[in-house]
Amino acid sequence: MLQISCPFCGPRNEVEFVYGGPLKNRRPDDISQIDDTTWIDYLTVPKNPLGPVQERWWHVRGCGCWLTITRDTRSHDIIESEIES
Amino acid sequence: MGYDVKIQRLALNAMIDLQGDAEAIKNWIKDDDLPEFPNKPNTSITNQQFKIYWVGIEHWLMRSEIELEDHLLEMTNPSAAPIEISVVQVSDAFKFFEVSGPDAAEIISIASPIDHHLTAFPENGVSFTNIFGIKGLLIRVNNGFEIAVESSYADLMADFLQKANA
Amino acid sequence: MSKDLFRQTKGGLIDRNQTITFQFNDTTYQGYSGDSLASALMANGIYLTARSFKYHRPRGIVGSGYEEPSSLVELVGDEESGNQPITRVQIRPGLNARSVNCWPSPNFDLMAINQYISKLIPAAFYYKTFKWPNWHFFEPSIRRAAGLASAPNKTHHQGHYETRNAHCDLLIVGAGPAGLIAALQAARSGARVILADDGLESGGSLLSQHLKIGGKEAIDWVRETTASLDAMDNVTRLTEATVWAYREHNLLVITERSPATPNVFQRSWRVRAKQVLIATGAIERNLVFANNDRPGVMMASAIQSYVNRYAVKPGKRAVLFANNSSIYAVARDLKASGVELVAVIDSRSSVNDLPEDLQDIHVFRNFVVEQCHGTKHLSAITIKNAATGETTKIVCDLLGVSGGWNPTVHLFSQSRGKVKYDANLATFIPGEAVQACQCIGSASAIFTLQQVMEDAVQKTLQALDLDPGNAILLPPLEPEAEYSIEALWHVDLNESLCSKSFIDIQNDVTLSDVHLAMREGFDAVEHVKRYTTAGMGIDQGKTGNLNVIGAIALKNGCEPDEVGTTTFRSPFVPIEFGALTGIREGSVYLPYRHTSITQWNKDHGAKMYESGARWRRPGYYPRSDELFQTTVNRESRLVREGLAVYDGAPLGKFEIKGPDALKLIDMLYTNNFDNLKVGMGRYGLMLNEDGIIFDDGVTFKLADNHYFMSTSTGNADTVNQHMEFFLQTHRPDWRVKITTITTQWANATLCGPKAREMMQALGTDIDLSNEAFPFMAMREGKVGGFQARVCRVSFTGELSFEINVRSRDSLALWETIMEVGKPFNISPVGSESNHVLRVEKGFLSLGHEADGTTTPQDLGLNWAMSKTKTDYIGKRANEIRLAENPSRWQLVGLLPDDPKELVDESAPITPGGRRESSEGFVTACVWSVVHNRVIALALLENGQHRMDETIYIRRKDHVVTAKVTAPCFYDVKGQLLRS
Repeated sequence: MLQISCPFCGPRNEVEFVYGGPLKNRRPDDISQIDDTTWIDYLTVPKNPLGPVQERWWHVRGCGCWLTITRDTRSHDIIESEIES
Repeated sequence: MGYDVKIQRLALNAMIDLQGDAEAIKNWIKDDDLPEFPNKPNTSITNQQFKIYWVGIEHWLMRSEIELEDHLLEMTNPSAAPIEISVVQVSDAFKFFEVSGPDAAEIISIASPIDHHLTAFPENGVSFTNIFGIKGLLIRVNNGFEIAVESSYADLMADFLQKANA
Repeated sequence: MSKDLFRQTKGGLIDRNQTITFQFNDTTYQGYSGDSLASALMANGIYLTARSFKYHRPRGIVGSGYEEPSSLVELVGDEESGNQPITRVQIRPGLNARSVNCWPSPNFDLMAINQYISKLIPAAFYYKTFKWPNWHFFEPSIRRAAGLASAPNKTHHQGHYETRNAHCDLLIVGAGPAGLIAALQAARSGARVILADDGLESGGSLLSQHLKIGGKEAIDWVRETTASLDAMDNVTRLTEATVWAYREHNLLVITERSPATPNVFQRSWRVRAKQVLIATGAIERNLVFANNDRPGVMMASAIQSYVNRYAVKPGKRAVLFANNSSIYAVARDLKASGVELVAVIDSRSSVNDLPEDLQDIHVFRNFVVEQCHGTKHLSAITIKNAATGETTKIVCDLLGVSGGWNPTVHLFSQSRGKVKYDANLATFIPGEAVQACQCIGSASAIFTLQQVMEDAVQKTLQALDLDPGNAILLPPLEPEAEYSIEALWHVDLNESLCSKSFIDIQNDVTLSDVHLAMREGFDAVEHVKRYTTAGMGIDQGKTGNLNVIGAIALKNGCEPDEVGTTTFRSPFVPIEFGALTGIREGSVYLPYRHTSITQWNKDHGAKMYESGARWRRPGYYPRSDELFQTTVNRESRLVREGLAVYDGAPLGKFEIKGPDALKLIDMLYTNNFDNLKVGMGRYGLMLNEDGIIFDDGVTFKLADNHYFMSTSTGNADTVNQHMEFFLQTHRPDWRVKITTITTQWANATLCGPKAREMMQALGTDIDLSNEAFPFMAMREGKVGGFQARVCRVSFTGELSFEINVRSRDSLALWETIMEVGKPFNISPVGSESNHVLRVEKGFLSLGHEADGTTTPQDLGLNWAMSKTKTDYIGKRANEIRLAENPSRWQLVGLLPDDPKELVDESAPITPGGRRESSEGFVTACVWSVVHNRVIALALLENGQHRMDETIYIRRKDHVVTAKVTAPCFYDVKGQLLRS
């Protein structure tokens, strides 16, 4: 059970959060300009590194913000926690 | 009755959900009867009649006795509020419980993983957290805590609280 | 009670004034308050307490605490539970315990035959032998023969389990000398401290040893210290509380076996600690020699505990066998207890540290015990001179063994801290920590009291970031001998003895098994563990693990650190499932949600069940002895022909507002919302980014950039997540706010041809004419005296008015409707008839037709796909998907040839009904009240182009044929709902 630091609420238990997948680039404004392969990769190919990974969590049973944490997959250490702005 | 607590369902409260830019909201609901907005996340400011909870980035809840609901609606005027801010009546969306008495904190420890020690959750602490597996609002009050949950979960919550103190 | 024979007349931490009667294996015994089941049985002269796991060899009590590898009991009666080490069960009036692994009793065990065929069943025997037809064929009967205690099959009569959460600055695991002094130090600083100990009372090893602290008996110091800790608000001291798991981010789990709270039977704590001190002490390891499992062979430290703490005499003639100096304190205490100490066998060759006061005992230096004699009880031992090989037999009934001390690094290792081998101490000691924790005292391989306490104080200061000036004064202590050891992983096997040398007593693993595993190529330590099962199960390598590592090292001619260790897993001790679930059982096993009229529904005979998102809803309202189908038909007909009302409160509802609200709505839905007028709603389809249908619902425009969105009941939370995710992570610059109002509003949906008349009868200031209030419009006004938002939407295909009111008014509105509706013969209808009606109309249902694989095109919803919008969520993937594979499973209607046979949902459709891959499946099948026959919806490969074809639905023992039709069986033009 992780402890995730929420920028608004402070450290909270993982049960307050919902996992939202690895961080992706912002969805482009005009997706019609992107070729099929790039778009399919964007949707279906996540990075799965051994080490620090950036991922999104929703503080649904808390303040409701979506945050991005940098978590080391080897140790679960959370190096950074921030919200999009 | 394992613990020295009193658990009761509270009557309906008047509640307004406020979202948007803090300044825009303050400009819209200027009223002498209202307290100042809290200046720390997850805290409340209370006067005789009204309470304001800061529960999220750009998110507040205003609360009063149900008798003052019309007054609250008048001050906040949800349907006329400018487009930048969201003002929604949510009185019926919540149901409240009070857990009070010397062992109130024990019940909260069973219910929620939040650190409710005074050093982490102050006298005027208020926060959404996980309460018996669902989203709930935890509020510190004089002699214990209040819990508010989405009203559809009220019977479940009563069931859980009763079991916790069986 | 034969107390003179087996119990000392004074001393010990037992209360001789409180006699307790208990039962063990159906015989009644007596013990004293303070006794464990083990000590009480020993005081009754009971030495045979168990049969072994695999060979069913006679076994006795080996340890004195959680390390007990040999005697496991199950409790029967009110507190039924299994697999408790006999040493951890406290006797109390009414206790009824039974040995596991034997039937009918340990003295006469039918499975004892296994020990005579043991040559035939070495390690991995079962896996190698029972291969045909497969292992699972034999597994149940083998498990029954081998297994431990059976699972309890009833709930506790008294009390309940509890789980709770806690936070602290410092969690101290273990309240021995290190833990106590650390707690005292930490408590003075004002930090929030939790001190948890497995034992009945705090004190740890001090309870079993004769030591003086500050000039007093150690137990007095312990009790003074605990009293001053208990007086401090910032300290929580737990006893009979085992810390059994160390998880990520310093989350540790404790289970309390006897909490003080009335009615709480056991309690688990999930503690998030800023810092952790592991003061778990050390566990003595066994020595490996022939028949080292005979009843009467015990850990030396256990003997010390029994004679000192419980004032028991575990035998009459004792011998001690050790490879280290800790044996001499045991020798001293044994002598003082009145047990005859015949000899000490000290395997060390180079050290002579026999204390001054013990010069009169007979020490065999550089000797080992070669084997034990006796079957159900130890009768003698043979010792061997390691230098000359010459052997001697000694008659004795008690043998204390000590193979050295292993710091209890289980939790440290669970925290992912690395352990390293220390050759001087012949054990693995804690290395670098990964999480915020430190081992203190003998858990960090420090063995004299003075050093233990100094170490504990210093590390506590470090953990709390306090400077050394804050250190508390230590009580004066007596001088102690330094610990010295010479590794002895096992006594050399003497093949001629034909007897077993146990390396893991609990799992019946012998030294030969380890050698066999290595011969067969399983020579890595993790492989040896799995091949032989050494260190598995409840034991988790407490007494035997290091000897396995040592044996592998000896065989491979390397050092133990090159062999490495296996993974220590949680739970450290057996934990009951109830202690994990706490109060979450029975009625709250799963969450449930109610509407304001749930009670009314129950009172009026509704059959309630879950229908998505934890809502319990009325399925149907049977009248007296009505059958299910009769009820559903009656309710369905009522909607088609008259008037009914449905509790639609659970529908997901959101208010969406902000300058960019329209932009958001247009991104979420496949169709266009920019030309929607205020007061009107539009049905919308939501796709996920993969181009698959994810939700549908109607969204009304309250004002410019201000919407009232409804979603399916089951998906409300997911839609909320979907919207917030998009807004907050992909378009944080868009200004839109979303408020969940699902339970702010409740609704009663009037449906049926008479709905408008009914609205009129209720009384409303809303103009109900079709011109003023058309289909898909929303109007605000009073209905039946209640302020309402009325929506003209329809999920049944009939004229409908959805009356939304504040939840607080919902019951009153409902009762008004029932009263006013009497002349219309109104009746409530449930979700079952709604299902029938929507199938007749061919309306999609999430989870049925929209099952996470279907696109709008598959369901014939091309009209809902905007051709003018350049983008919406899922657009691109939907296009790619269809371009790649135009032949998809598409929605069709089915008319089974037998008009009376209802087919199960999800029944597969295969070509010709043959046993081949399916080409579709039935998504819904109901009795249509308008056609008086069975109708169905299905997803069928290329279905839109197969009208009138016959398809084949495979059932368990026959094939159902059906004709393909369009997926709408009623009012195809949709005139009724617009009427």
